[in-house]
Amino acid sequence: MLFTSNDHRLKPYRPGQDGAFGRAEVAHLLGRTELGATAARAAKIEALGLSQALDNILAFDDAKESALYRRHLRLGSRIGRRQELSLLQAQWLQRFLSARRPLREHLALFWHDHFATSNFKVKDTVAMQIQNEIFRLGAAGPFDELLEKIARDPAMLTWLDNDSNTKVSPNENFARELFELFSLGLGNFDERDVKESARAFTGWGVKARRFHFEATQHDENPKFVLDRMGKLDGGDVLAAIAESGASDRFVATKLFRWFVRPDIDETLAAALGQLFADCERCTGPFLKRILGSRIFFEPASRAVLFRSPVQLVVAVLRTLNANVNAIELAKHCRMMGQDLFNPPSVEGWKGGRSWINSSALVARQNFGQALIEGEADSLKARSREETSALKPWVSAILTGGQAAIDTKPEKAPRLIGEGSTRLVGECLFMSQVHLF
Amino acid sequence: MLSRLITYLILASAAATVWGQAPAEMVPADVDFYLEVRNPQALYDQLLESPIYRALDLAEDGKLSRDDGLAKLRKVMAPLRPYLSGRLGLGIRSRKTFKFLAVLENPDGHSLEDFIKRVQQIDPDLKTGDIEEYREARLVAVENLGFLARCEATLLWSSDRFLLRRALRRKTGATIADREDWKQLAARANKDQIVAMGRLGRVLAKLEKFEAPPNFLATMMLAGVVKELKAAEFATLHGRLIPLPDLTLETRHDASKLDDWSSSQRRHLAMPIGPDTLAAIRIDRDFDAFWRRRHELVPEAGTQELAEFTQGMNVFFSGFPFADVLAATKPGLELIIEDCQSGPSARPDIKLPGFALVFDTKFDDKVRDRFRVAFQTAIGIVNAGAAEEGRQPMLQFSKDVQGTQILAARFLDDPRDGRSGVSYNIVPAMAFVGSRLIVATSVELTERLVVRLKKTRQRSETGDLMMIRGKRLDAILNLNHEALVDQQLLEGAASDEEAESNIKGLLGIVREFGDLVLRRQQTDDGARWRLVVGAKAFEKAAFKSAAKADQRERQAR
Repeated sequence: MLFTSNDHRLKPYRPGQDGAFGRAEVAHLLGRTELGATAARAAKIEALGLSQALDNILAFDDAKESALYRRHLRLGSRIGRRQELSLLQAQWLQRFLSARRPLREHLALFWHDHFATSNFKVKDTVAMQIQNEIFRLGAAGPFDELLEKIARDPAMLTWLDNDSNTKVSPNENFARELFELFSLGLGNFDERDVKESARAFTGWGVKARRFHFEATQHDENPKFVLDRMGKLDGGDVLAAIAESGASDRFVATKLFRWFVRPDIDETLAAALGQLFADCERCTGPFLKRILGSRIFFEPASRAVLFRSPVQLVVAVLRTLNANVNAIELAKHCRMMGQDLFNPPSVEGWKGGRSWINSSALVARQNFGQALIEGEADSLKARSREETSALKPWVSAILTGGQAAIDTKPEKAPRLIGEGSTRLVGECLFMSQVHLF
Repeated sequence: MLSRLITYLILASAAATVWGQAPAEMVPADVDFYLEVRNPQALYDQLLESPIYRALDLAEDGKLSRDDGLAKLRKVMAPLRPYLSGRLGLGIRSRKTFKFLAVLENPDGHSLEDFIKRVQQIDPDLKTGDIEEYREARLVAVENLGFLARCEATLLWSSDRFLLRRALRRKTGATIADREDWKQLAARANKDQIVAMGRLGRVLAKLEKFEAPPNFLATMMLAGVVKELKAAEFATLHGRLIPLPDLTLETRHDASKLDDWSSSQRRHLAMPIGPDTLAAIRIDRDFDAFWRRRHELVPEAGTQELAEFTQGMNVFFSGFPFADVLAATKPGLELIIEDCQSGPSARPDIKLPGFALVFDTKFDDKVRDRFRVAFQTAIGIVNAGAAEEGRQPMLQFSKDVQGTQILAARFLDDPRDGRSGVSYNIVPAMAFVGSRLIVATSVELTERLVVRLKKTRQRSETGDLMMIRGKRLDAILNLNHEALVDQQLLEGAASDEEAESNIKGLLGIVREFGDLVLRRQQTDDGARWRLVVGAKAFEKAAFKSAAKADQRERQAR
C-alpha cells in the first residue's frame, strides 16, 4: 500500500521524535480503540511499541478470542430467537466486556450507528442479530463489501422499506439513505440519482429472513445513476458508489470523527479521503494509519470526544475487569440515552455534546451509584482488579489523566473487590470522565 | 483496661456450683413468647453442615465460588459452640420495644469470664463494665449487647436489666415451667427440636414489617392470613428444622378480629392433581365478599392498581361489571402447575410448565357465556398487541374431550422460520366441567383437568394448601438448563463453570429439600399450620391426608 497523503498531520507518529509513547499515550490509544483496558493490557501495549501495538489491537481472530467471548458469540442466535431485545443488547455488551480485541465490537458499534437500523420497526431480533454479525465480521474489512452485505441485509431492507420497492411503485427510501447517509453524503448526488437508483433496487426484498430477489418486481428499463447508464441493478449502483471519490471522503471523515477528533478542516478532509482510497477503502488499514498518525497523539485530540453511554459503561467495566449483569447494564445505557438496536432514526445517534443533558447526566451518575452499591445493586459488578493497582490507571484511562483519583478515608473499602468498584463508581461523579 | 481486669477477677472468684436448671424455670411466666431449642449444638452443627443450607449459600449468585459464607460463619461462631451443649430458652416481651431474655443450660460449668472472652473473640471491640451483684449472680453490662449473667448452671443474656433481675428472682415469681400449658406442650412435644408458645399476635403486631404488601392482589391473597396471625391470642409451635423442616403451628384466635372473607371451614374436594403435577395451591378465600369490601380493605397504596385492575377486568368482560362476575363464583381458588410440553409446532426455547386456575361458579349459562366472551376478548387484545409489535397472532380453536368443549388459542408459526411465533409454550385454553371453570396456559393441562374433574372426588378437605413436588420442579429446571445457563452468562457469570455452579445451587436446594407442603386448616377456635419438607411429602399430603379425611367423614356419617 502506498501512502500518498501530503498532509503532515497524517504522517506516522514517531515516538521519541514527535513525542513519547508512554502510559498517557497508551491510555489515549486504548481508550479510543478498546474503550477501557486493565493496567496489565496497557503495560503490554506499551512494551510492544506503537506499530506493533496497532497490529495487536487490530488483530481480530475469533479462534484466539477468550473462551467467554466465543461462548457469547455462540449464544447470539439462540438469544435472537427469544425475541427479547434486552437479551440481545445484553449479549452484545457481554461481547464488549469479554473480548480480547474489543476494537472489533467498537467498530461494530460504529457501523451500527452509521447504518442505523432500529428494531422498533424491524420487530425481529433474529434479523437484528444477523445484521450485528455482518457489522462484526466486516468491521475492519473493505467498506464496499460491507455496503453490499448491508444492501442485501433483511433488517435493513425491512427498515428502509425496500421489501416494498417494486417496478410499479418504486420506494426511494433505501436509495436516498444509501446516498445521503451511508456512502456519499449530501451534495454528492442529485434527485435523479435517487429516483433512478430506487428503480435499480426494485425487487430486492426479504423472504424467510434471507435476501430475496423478486425478478418479476425488478425494473429492467435503462437507468442513469452517478454517470453510469444502462440496465442497472442494485449491484451496479453499489459499484458506482465505490468508484466515487466523494464516498472515500465521506466514510473517511466519519471514521476520523468517531476515533480521533470532531473538527476537520478542508485540507484534512481531502487528505483523509485520499488516505481511505490509498487503503483500498478498507477500514482496518485506514484505522491503523489514523491511529498511528501525529494528529491522533496531538494534545488537541485528547479528551475531546464525548463518551456515548455504551462507550462509557464499557470503558468503566473493562478498566475494572469486572463481571456484570449485562441485562441491567443495557437498562443503564437506555436510561443514559443509548438503546442498542434502537437508534432514534436512520441518522443514528446524534452523538457529541448531545449525550450530555440534565437527565442523561443524572442517569450517568446513577450508573456510578449502582457500581458503588456493588453487590446490593442488581448490576452486581464484580471487579477482579485490586484497588491499589487500579488507582493510577483509572486516572489515566477514565479521565485522560485530567483528574487525580482518590478515595475518601471514611469510604475506605474493607474488601478489595468492593473497593475497586467503588473507586471507579465515584469517578463517574467527575465531569472529566465523560470525555475521552 | 483496669475495669475489665477487675471484672475478670470478680467473675473468676464467683462460685461455680453446678445445679441442674431448665431454661423454662428461669424465664418469667409473663413473657409474651417463649421458644426452647433442645440440643442447640447439634442443630448448629447440622445447620452449618446441612446440604440444604450449603445449597442456599451456593445459590446466592455463585457465592461459594468466591467466598464460603458458611465457613466464615462457622469460624466466627466457633468460640461459642462449646456453650451450646444444653437447652436454650428465649423469652420475648413486647411492650414499647422488644425485650429479650436468653437462658442457656451450662452443664459443663463454663464461667462467665470465659464466656465473655469468647464473645470478645467474635467482636474484639466489645466492652464490658457496670458490674452489679444480684442474688447469687453477677450482672455484667456489655456495650451494645445488654447484660450477661451466670447463675448456678445457667448462663443468661438479656437486653434488659429488669428482665434479667426477674429471671434471677425465680424462686419468688412464677416461671414458664410453672405454667400448665407449657407442661402439656412440653410433654406432647418431648422429642421435638423446637418448642414454643405464647401470645404470638401480640409479638407480630409489634413487627412493623409483618404486613401484606400494599397492593390489592397481595391484600386479597395474604391480608387475611396476616390478620389471622396477628389476631392469634395464643399459639404453640413445635417440630424440627433438621434434617428437614417439619413444623406445626397452632393458633387460637379472637374471631371478632377476623374478616368474613379470609377464613372458613368450608369443605373442598381434593385437588385435581396427577402424576405430572409440579405444584398445587388452594387458596380458601371468599373473593366475592372481598370485592364487596375492597375499598375498605385495600390500603391506599394499592388503590391505583385496584382501579387499573377493575378497568382491565371490565374490558375483558366486555362491559359486564366485574363485581357481578365475582358474585357468580363460589369461594376458593385452585392453581395447578404441571409439566406440559406439547403445544407449539416447534419446541420453544423456554419450556414453561402449564398453569391452570380452577374455580367453582354458580351454574348459569349466562355466566358461562360471560367467561367465554372474556376469553375471546383476551385473545383479541393479545392479537392487537401482536400486530403492533410484529409478533404472530393467535388463532382460536376448540376441542372436545369426553363431551366437554375446550376453547383454546395457539400462536401461528412465524413464516420467517417456520417456528412457533412465541418463545414460550403457551396455548391458552378454558373449559367448563359442570360448574367448575378451568383457565389454563396449556391446552394439554386443560384436557387432563377435564378428565380428572369428571371423575368422582369424594375426599373432603378444608383450608389453604400449597404442595410443591421437588422431582417435577427439578425436571422442569433441567429441561430449561440451557436457557438458565444462557441467562447466567448474560447476568455476569464469568464462565460456563460459574454459570453451572450458580444453577447447581438452585437445583441443589430443590433436590435436597424434595417436596414442600404448607397447609393451613381452620379449627374450632383458631387455625393449624403445618410445614413439611422432604421426600414424599407431596404424596403423603395429597393422598394419605385426603384418605384420612375421607375416613373421618365416613365415620361422622
